[in-house]
Parts: sequence; C-alpha cells; structure tokens
Amino acid sequence: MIRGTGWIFIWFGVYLIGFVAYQLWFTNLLTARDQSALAAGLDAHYEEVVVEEVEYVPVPGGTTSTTVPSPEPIPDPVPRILLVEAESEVGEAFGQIRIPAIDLDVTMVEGVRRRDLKKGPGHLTGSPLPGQPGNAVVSGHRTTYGAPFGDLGGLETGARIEVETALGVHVYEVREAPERCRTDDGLCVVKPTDLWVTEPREGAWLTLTTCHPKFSASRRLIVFAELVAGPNAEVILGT
Amino acid sequence: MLSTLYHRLPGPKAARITMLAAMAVVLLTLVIWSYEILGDLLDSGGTVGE
Repeated sequence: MIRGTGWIFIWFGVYLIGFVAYQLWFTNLLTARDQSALAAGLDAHYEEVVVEEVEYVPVPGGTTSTTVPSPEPIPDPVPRILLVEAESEVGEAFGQIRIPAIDLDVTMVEGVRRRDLKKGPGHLTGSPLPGQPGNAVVSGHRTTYGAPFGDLGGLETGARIEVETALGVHVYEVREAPERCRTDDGLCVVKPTDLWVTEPREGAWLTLTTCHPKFSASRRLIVFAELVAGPNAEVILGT
Repeated sequence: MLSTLYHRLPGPKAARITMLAAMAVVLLTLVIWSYEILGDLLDSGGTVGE
C-alpha cells in the first residue's frame, strides 16, 4: 500500500517536471521552428499580396473599413488615397513586428486561434491590419511558445513599435494607459472579456494584448500604440 | 513495472512489443494533450474575448 502510494507520487513528480519542461523549453523549440519557416516565406508573401488604392473617408469615432461608405462622411475636397493590402489566409505570415526597447523581432501570423499563436503573435481577424485606420489588434504569448510578448510590461510611453507589412514599415508609439484600466505601475490590465480594448478607434492604432501576470491567464496586459509614420500615416493623420 | 506488464500481455513476443509501443504512444499523446490544456492556465495566448 505504502509502496503503491510512493509510486504514485514519483510518477506525479515526473509528470510535473515534464509539464514544466514542455511549457518552458519544448514550446519555445516549436515556435522557433515555425518562426524560421514563416520568416523564410515572408518575402514571397510581400511580392504576391494584392495592394489596392482606395479613397479614405474618415468616420467620426473610428472605423475598421475604408471601403464602406459612411452615411455622414466628413467633407474632404481633396481625395485622400490609402494603400490597402489584402488580408492573408488565417495561419499564414503577413508581417513582422519589431520593438527595439524589448529586443523583439518576430514574424506575425493572421488569426488568433490556439494553433496560430503557437507560431508567433497573431492579428485578430476582423480588426484592421497594421498601418490601416482603426484599431489593429495583435495578441501573443507571454511565457510559453517563444514568449514574444514576455517583456511587454516593460514598455514605456513613447516606445517605438515597427510593424512591417507588404506596404512597408508602419511606425507606432506607445501611448499612456487609459485611466479606466491603468494600474498603480502605469500598465493597462483588463479582464479577458473586456472587449472594449478591441473596439474601433479614431486614427490608426495598434493594440497589443497578452496574458497577465506572467504564468497566469487570469488577466490581460494591454499596450496601446498610435501610428506616427509609415506609408499611410500622412493620409490617416491628415498631415 | 514495464517487464511485469510485458509478461502479462498475451501473444507472441512481436505482438507484445507492438502492444507496448501502442500503449506508450497513446499515453504520450494523453500526457501532451493534458500539458496543452494545463498550459492554457499559465498562458492562453493573451487574446481578448476569444
């Protein structure tokens, strides 16, 4: 009886050690392999992707689409031409995200399904692509699968985020956390069900989401960044 | 433990080894599947509302 109980504890210990090794080591290997493959195919994607020019009609309160006519468009005597790229298939690479402040340089995929995020940060399908007007949402792992957003909590206001897509490099700057989600240390932390962070916004924004705190999926850490330069920046910002 | 299991299995040597290998594969699959499920508690990918 005692011997049997001892074996149960031993096997449970082996199981737990295996779990830690799998999460903190093996998942990183899987993601590194996927990242190499994705990065290798990115140049071909840039050449193949369809890029269109569409007239940009800003809508008060923000929009996720530039092609849907607004019932009350803001009058604009000079047409503003926006470059729009076709969305990739879910699970495929579409660009790279670089954040020098946290030494991040990874390939992003379309979609936020479990299997998409194992490859790298994923773009929320349905939200605008980075470099487009509205709120582009990108999610990523914080502690496992390469932990691309592991150091997201260390980003300070004004930090530069570069997102490269088929259109070119879109430069964003991190903005201060909104009051409604700001913690004592200046981070924006919300519940996983707080959908307001993904809602359309006026201008062009990049919203990065990841788990919080580290080693827990109970909350979400959110970083909001605003477009400041890039192929569409002048058109969107009206400068 | 493994040899006890081997001796309890019916059939010739090749069949017993095949059965042990199949059991190992099933066990490993279950273990990795449970790691994936438990892993979501540590880090689910950071999505909001998904």
